[in-house]
Amino acid sequence: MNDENPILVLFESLLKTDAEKRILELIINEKSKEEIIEDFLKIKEK
Amino acid sequence: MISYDYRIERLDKGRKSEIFVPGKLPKKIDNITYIEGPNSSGKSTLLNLIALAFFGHRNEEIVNALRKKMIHLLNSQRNRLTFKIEINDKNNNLALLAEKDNPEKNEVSLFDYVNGKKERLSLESFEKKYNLIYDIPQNPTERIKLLTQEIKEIQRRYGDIISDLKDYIRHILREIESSRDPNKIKKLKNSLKDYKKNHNELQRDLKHNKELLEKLERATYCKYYLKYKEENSKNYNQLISMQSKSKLEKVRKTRGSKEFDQFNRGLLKELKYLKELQENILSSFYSLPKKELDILSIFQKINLDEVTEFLEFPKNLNAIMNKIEKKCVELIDDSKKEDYYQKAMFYKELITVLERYNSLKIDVPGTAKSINDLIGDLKKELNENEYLLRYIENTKKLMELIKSFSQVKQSIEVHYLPDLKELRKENKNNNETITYQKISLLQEKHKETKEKKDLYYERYMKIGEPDPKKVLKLGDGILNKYLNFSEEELLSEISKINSDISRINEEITTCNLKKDLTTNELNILENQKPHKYTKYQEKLNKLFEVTEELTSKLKNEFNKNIEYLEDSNINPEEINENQKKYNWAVFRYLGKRIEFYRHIKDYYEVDYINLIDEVLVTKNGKKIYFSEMGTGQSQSAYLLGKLNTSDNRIIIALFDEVAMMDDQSLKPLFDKCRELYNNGKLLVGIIVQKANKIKIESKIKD
Repeated sequence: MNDENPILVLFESLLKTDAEKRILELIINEKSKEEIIEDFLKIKEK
Repeated sequence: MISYDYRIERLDKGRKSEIFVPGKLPKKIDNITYIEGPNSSGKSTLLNLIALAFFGHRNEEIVNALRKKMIHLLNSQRNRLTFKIEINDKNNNLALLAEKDNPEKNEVSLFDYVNGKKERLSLESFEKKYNLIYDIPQNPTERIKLLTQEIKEIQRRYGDIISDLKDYIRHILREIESSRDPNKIKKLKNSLKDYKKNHNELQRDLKHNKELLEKLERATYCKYYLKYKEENSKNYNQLISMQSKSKLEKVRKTRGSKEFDQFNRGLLKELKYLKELQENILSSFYSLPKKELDILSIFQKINLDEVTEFLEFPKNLNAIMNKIEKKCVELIDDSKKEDYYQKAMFYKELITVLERYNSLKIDVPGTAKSINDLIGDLKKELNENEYLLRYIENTKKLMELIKSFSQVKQSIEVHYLPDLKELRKENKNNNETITYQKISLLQEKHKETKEKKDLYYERYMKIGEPDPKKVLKLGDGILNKYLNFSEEELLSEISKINSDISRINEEITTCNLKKDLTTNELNILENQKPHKYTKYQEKLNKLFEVTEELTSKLKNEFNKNIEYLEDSNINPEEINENQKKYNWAVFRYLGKRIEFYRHIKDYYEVDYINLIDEVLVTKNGKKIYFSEMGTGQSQSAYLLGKLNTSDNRIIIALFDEVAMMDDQSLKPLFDKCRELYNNGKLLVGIIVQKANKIKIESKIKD
């Protein structure tokens, strides 16, 4: 996650899974619903 | 560059209205500007108008006191307001235009310019792209705490976005459900194949049962129709013959003859039952394979009708009964010694055990067969040896009949015969009475055989009056196993096959229904287009779960956490682990927001701000308590925190009344504005301070 963005730092420490963190990061970066889904479908299970 | 102009006509009842226009301040200022001026110089009005132009009066993040000022300006009863504000970006392209040209209406027109294209902005579209910050940093240390309100707002906003995302994923999943799914199509095809196979098997069973029923009904109905027809005819002839021989006279009913009649009726009733037992014994015995018994032929010749004449049973009857019973015992003992019997019993017991576990989907070791298949094989084997079991059961039944026969015989000997003998001596009309008794007996028998004959005739007609010579016989071909069946057993078997046929027909109907439904579903699915996410269905389900969890966290769990943290009555000892974790995340977040802090003469990089202990901790471990902070320094820290936003929206920052801040405190604020402006993240940064003289300073350059 992007260390420069304070809100990302906040949620980075509060969320447990990579998937949750990634979704929030994409939302903070104002990605659309479609972009978030496409991004998630390419993520390997962690 | 910011260009603006306005006209405010303030109406006061009974007084002359006042007009306010920009006079003391220039109508054009740089995007980052520091303004000093005395009261009524127009500096706060400028900030209020800019904020009003960008929906500031509806922005809940702006303190209520400032919003009230904007709403007051809009009040057409009090103020007749018009204004126009144009803001150019750092490349001097027009970025925003706000205009209110009708003093009677509250409406402000706001436009955004993207690549020169003008677009009207609503509150929602404005807030999506821009972040209006308008603040008076009074009591800044308390206001640092209020930065938590922003976290609350962010959590709510992101919670809503993720909730929307969750709904959208659910919508996609529903679309996938009803789209062309190769796996589902494959499953449906397999189901259809199974239904077809099942259907064929059921049809085969139905055909077999129908054929069996037809042949069994023909054989049974023909056999018993002919049997009862013959018996009935024989009875009829006997009856006619007896009636013609005897001249029937009405028996005089003396006191003695009435009593005789009473006993005689009882005797006839008992004898009728005894004769039925005799017939059943003979029928059962002849159904046994080993029927080479002389004793039976003697038993058969015993005429029970004669008992009414002689009032006693044949003398050898007891001996005959004993012999038959003994023979039955021998037959059972001999049969049980046979291997076939042992084998059949073994199969029967094994089937009982296996049927208790037939729901288990396992192969029986050593057979490579499922439990159900093995039960099927054993039943087949048992069927081949079933005649032996039936033989023993029939023999046991025979013994029961013999026992009943002996009991009824004994009852007659005790309860009827002695009295009847006595009464007969007294009765003068012996001969007439005996004839009358015989005729009554024959009439009754004739009636019975006629009923049976009629019943079977009706059934025989129903199956089309087949030629008895051409009818398959019991024990032949498909009727092989019915050779030794009694009349009762045959009728029961016919009823059972009829039930089987009804059941199979019902199963065929159900199977057809399932087949049709599956075919329809398959047709619909095959005609649909595949969804682009079909193969990701599993991952989407997982994503749906993640969004569900995340929505709940942001809107419920974290919301409770931030409300708890905002509570000023927190007892540090009562904070649970989850809340502690949350608090620390917020403390570090605030550290990031403030970033740098000037204390006395030095700058420090902030590590975290502990709101409960009210202390700011620097990266090198220095603790600065809120109570030790100079007002100007804490104002600077607070405003820096406001500028260190966490999203990509373009900031329009308006700060009023920063009176406590000296040049050193203001410097990091201007530096931050400049950095954001140069990165395209800030469009307006105006900082206003009260002073005796007007001073306008551009802060675009250091």
